[in-house]
Amino acid sequence: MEQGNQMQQFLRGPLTRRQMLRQALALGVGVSGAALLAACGGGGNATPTAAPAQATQAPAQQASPTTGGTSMGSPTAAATAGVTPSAAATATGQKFTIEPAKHKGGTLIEGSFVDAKTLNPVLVSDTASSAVSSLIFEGIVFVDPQTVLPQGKLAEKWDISSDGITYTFTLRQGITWQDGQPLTANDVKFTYDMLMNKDTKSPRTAELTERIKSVDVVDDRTIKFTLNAPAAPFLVSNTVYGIIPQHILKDVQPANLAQDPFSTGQKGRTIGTGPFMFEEWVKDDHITLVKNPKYWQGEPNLDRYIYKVVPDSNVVAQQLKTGEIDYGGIDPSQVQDIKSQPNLNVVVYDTFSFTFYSYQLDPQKTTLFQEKEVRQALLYALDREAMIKSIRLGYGRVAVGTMPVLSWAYNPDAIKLKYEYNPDKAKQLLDQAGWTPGPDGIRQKNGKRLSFTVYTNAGNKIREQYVAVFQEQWKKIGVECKPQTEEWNAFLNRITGSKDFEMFLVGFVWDVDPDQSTMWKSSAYEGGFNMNKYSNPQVDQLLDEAIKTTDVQKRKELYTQMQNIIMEDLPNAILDFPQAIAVVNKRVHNLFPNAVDDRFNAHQWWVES
Amino acid sequence: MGRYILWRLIQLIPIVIGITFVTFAIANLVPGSPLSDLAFQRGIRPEDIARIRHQLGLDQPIYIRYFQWLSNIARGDLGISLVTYQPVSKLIMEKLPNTLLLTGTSLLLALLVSIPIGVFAAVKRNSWFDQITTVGAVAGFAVPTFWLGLMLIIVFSVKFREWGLPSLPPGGMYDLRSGGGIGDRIIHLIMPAFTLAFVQTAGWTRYIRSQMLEVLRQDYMRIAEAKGLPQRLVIFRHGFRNAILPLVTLLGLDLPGLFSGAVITETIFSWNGLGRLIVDSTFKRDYTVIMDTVLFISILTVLANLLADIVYAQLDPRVRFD
Repeated sequence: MEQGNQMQQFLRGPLTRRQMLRQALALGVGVSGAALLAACGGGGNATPTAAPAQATQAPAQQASPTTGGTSMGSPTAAATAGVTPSAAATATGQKFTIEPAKHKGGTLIEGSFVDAKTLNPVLVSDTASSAVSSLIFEGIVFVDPQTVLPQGKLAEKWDISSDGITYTFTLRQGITWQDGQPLTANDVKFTYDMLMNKDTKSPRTAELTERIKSVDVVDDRTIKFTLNAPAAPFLVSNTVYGIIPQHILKDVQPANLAQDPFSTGQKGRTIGTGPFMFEEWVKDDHITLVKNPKYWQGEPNLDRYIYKVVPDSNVVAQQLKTGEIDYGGIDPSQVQDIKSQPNLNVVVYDTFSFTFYSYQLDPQKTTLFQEKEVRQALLYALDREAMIKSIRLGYGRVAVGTMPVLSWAYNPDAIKLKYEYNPDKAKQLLDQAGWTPGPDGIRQKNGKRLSFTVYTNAGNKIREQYVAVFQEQWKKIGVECKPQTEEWNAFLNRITGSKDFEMFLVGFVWDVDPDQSTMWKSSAYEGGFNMNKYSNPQVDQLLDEAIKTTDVQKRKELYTQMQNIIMEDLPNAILDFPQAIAVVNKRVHNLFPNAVDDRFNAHQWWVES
Repeated sequence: MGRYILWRLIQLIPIVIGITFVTFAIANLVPGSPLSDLAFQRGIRPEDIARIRHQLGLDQPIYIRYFQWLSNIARGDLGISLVTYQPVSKLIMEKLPNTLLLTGTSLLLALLVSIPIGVFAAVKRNSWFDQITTVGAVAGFAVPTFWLGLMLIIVFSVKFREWGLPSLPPGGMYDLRSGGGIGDRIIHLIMPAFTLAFVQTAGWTRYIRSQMLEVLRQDYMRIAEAKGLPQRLVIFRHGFRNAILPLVTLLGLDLPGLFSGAVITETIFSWNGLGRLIVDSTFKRDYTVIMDTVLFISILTVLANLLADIVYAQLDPRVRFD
């Protein structure tokens, strides 16, 4: 999701998808990165934590899809390098091949045009901060990008009580902080106390206090979380935050945590359990980390990692070409140029972010969209494949249902209404509903014209083009749509505050967990992202049931049912899931760009000398 | 003299207060908020944002925030960044040396080039050299800094590299991979310093030329010449020293130009100085950093003007303070 007021955005237009994705993803998940469309390798689950050098020599880079311009043409066939677009394209079954390091030492430079804000994982709310913070700090659990399922990080194992209320984690033995002190369950409790303390500037206090009843230390290596109600997303959403050291921070006032040198970066004080240690942070310029030689998964191959901040995305692309930057995200428009560089690999991967437009369903605001036929007709009238092809230059997928391709709940074959482009069907639906063309060509019913305004945020080139397409394509079926752009904050206030709109277009990012209550549940009208007052008791019930269900297969069925109701009701139209594009210099090995966690094996990254 | 300086310092107070007001108003009237990144994110509730807004004091009425800020800076407390929570004083002190290095180098460069050219153009008035200088100066004035900077990058970094020639780094202060030696730092300084110096050189060449022309017309010049002094001595001892005097004032007046030029140059060349700090903070709506940095530069400018006036008095006995 974009931050409309960022300087960088002003300078260069919309953020790259990777940026928007990472930004939002970081919040919910606490890990950076994004998921891959990588090799459609076998189903092996190489647990990287357990098998650092489980290396076949299969060239991992080659297996990950280098972008083929022409093959990106059709979004449904957009999956390159043999990934089939349907069920097989879900993340399950993807595999990274880790090769043994042929060289130790060296520096990896990652480039971005957004600087971090804080290093303290308790306070991190943006992708840039998370990118650096997650190399220094580790959570008790991480989401394996190969399976999109939770795996132990600091925790060796966990037990979930049969009622789904208590989670008991056992920490691995012998993990130490970077200053040599042992990690204990007290550190975990301390971290969650800080996360849930209203005096800190933690942005997640509300959700966590609602979800977690208590955190108790059982013994040095055992920690017990008691929830207020069963919550299936708990593991992947709320146990992945980096753990901070109590022995360093115990005397810091919670209100001062954000400005403590621990959070703003001080060598020797900003310490975690991760593969890299803090060295220096020159604001708006670079952050340098050095390897933690005593890292519990083994000494990292790299000597140094540098997060480099440059003015805009063009400079990122430029410096990728010159080799000044080893790893960074680029825009679709830059792919052609980068692809011709012999020293670079381009990796296209699916993400959890999506574009959608929303119908105002509150009859006090407008009655235009009360009929399901109208809502459905408008989506039928949009040629989404063509939009992705021309506006996103092919880097995206038409949404089938509401679930992202990466989710294990993605189930396109079971979705009944796919809304393939069909303007005749659109006209037919409108006729059925009694909207007939008036003298000016615009349909009307009972003297009311089918005419409305669609809002989007100014400065986002892609969305501005999308609403222009709406106007043009809907006009063909006799619907008048007036695009209107607004500055980000004013727009945000309109859609989440005053809710004074007929229709708006924006982007959002789903969590790794498929729970979508925040958008579809009627209670999410207050404080959630159900901005158009959608309410369907059946959907509410399915969502409630699914969040209490821990069995993945059962949950998937529930979500499939829910998706079919949503696609029938169509309160919001999810248009597409954009893909992200990362570039990695060929001298870098074992680095796998993906939307879940590209840092899960940071200690195994290595660069040729 | 002492009374004059004191009087001038007292005069500065309303000026500085005026500056604080304008700075505060401009920074805060821009639509947006340092917290807008938090909005519309899954997992972050409106109540979380409201809480952090309150903790940062952003929920206070705007006039209270103004007086709060004034009373803080009056006590020497510049506050913390609203985005990174670092002390602003630390940020300014971190960036100031970099900006001084860049502006100082370009100033030196501009003087070294413009003084000889200006003097020579005046002495050889209406010669082909003078004509070229005039055209060059007008062109120099007309070239926008950002355009020049980008052109230099395209030619000397991008194209030279493509052509396999030794190229200059497009940005940054030193090479991150190697850690940066003194030679590396000088190489990184060349293009930004040149860009910043370019416009100044144009202005100063014209200025020195016209000053010099004026001085050359003076009676004492004719006398010196009549005495049979060598041409070089006449021009440099009697002419140049008199012509250079007003340059001191000009330097003082030029300081804001130097800083505003640095804002653009630093942004283009990723030069990690105060100018880039202002630009980055503006886009992040980091109000305290914007306000404190702009105020800091403003006070620096006002003081530099004062200093220029005092030095001028010292140099020119004709100037008296009453």
